[in-house]
Amino acid sequence: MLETLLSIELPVGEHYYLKRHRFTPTEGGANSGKRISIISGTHGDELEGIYVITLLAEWLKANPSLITGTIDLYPSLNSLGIDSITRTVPFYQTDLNRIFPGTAKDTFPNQMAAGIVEAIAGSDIAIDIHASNIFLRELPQVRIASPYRDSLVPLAKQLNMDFIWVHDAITVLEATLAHSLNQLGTRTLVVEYGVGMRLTPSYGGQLLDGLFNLMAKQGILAVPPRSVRAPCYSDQGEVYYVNSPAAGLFVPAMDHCQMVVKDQLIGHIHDPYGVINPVPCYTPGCGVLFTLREYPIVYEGSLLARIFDDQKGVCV
Amino acid sequence: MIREPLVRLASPSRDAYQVDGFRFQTQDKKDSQTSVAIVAGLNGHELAQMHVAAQLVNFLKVRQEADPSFITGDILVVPAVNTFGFNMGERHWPLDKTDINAMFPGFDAGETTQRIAHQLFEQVKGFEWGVELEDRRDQYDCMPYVRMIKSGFEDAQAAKYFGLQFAHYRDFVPSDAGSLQYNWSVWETKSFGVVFGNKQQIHRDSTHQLLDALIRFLAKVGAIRTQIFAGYDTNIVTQEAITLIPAQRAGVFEPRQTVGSFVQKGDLLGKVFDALDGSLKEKIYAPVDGLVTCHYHYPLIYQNTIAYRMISIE
Repeated sequence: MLETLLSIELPVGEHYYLKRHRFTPTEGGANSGKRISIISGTHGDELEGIYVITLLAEWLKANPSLITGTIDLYPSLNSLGIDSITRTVPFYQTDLNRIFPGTAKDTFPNQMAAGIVEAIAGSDIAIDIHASNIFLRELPQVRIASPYRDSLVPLAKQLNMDFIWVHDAITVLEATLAHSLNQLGTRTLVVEYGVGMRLTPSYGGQLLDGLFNLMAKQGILAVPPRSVRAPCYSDQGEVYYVNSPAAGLFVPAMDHCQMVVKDQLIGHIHDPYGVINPVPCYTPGCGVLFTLREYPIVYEGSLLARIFDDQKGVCV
Repeated sequence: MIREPLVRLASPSRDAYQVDGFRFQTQDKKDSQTSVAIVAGLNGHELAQMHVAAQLVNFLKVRQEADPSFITGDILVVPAVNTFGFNMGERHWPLDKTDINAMFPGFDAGETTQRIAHQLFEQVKGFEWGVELEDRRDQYDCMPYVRMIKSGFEDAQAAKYFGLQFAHYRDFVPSDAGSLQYNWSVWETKSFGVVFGNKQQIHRDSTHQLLDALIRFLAKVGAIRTQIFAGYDTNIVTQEAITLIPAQRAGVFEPRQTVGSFVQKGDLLGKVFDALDGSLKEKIYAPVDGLVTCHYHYPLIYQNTIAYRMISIE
């Protein structure tokens, strides 16, 4: 059932609608009472989650008898941004994922944020799907703020992702949707993969398998659990960052998502005028290259790559 | 006066990025030894803030040249941080659209704007007083005011030194965490935000008013030796004194009260018209007696957006 949860009148003949597609068990069918919300489109330039939710909606529509819980799909939270290739909320240039929980009587983005929290709070589980940004390509991963490690890591392991990254909760993350929902008791996982403005169908399929597995194990779908991959876990290793040492054009020398050894060439920073010799950039450690820069123009400090070393000896 | 580069970064194709500071120091060890850092233009839309800071640099320079004993402390003025943004009409860092004023205290091995914040913060931390000149991030025309964030290291009474009509003393919110003003206070600098101006505009009257406010502050804390009119006896207001008045409908917004007006409960504040057929959709009335501090200034307004902000003093 397609539902409208929030309507905000726009100045010139249009409304913003917060919509969700709710799937519930068929009449008389088994019902676990569990509720999951699957979310994408907080950032208007991230499209990977829309693809997965589309696939899931099509499957649920075709298999209503296998639904044993409530499944809420929110593909396009920042609909104005999605329809205009705008990461932020257009006009306000506000990052929607930095103003949660929002307030109902304030700017348009704040009203959106408040409406989104009100709609999703009360779910048992929420999956907030992100697609990096236009600058970086990411391996399928789940990101978890450390205060929620114990309750979320077991869920994250069911999602068929390659990497679970538990990071320190810096204060700015308190303004994210995931933080607001976790504070309200909805266990919320942030999924991140792919790259902005593009689709990576193979990663989408991987997450879809994970969602089926998670929902099967939680009693929300009457399907057999899927076989999922065992993810790397950041608490059992180290994340290395590679930031650009110079400004220029970054040309990678390796592919994303491969095992690397220490001092391997990641790529060069070229001076567009050719006055300065290309600056080589090397891996600071060994492990899996789970983040690689996609957008070539860089300043000093621009993130080029991230490597996870699980310290299990693969680097020897 | 010493002009010194505080931040410098190469760019891929354009001129190097550089942030300049203007330092004024007393030569007399008997002077107060107070120190003040004033930073403006952390975003590239803050034209009025940059201009006021630049006018302050010029004022201090001229007065110091005329009388070397005029400067009695240590003053650092930074008129523009996001110079690349100013030069292309961008609020945030032009490549990745990140907000420099959300990156403090910065990180020397981090991403570009974290590095900019780090380099700048290394130069402006440790001052006794810190003043950040900024605009509002939203679409409002407001009376100039001082903003204080409750951090445990603020000096609320010193907010009165600027002589503006009111100071907003509010709780910390998560989005403050990366701001210069908040991080100053974490590093034990008594900090203020001075909020004024319309986006991407400069008005002569408010430039003079804010320049006076900064000179008044510098004189009151003992950083300069000068006479200046006293200004207002600033009201320090908390959230309880503020009334937010939303437009219930969206459309073309016509404000009927200007900022700084005293209005009574029931007075007409503004109207909202249908953008297409021109019909009147809503009249907005004052729900309380008070001072109009801000009104929404863009002609198109979204539903439930705050149209007016007022403060009431019991």
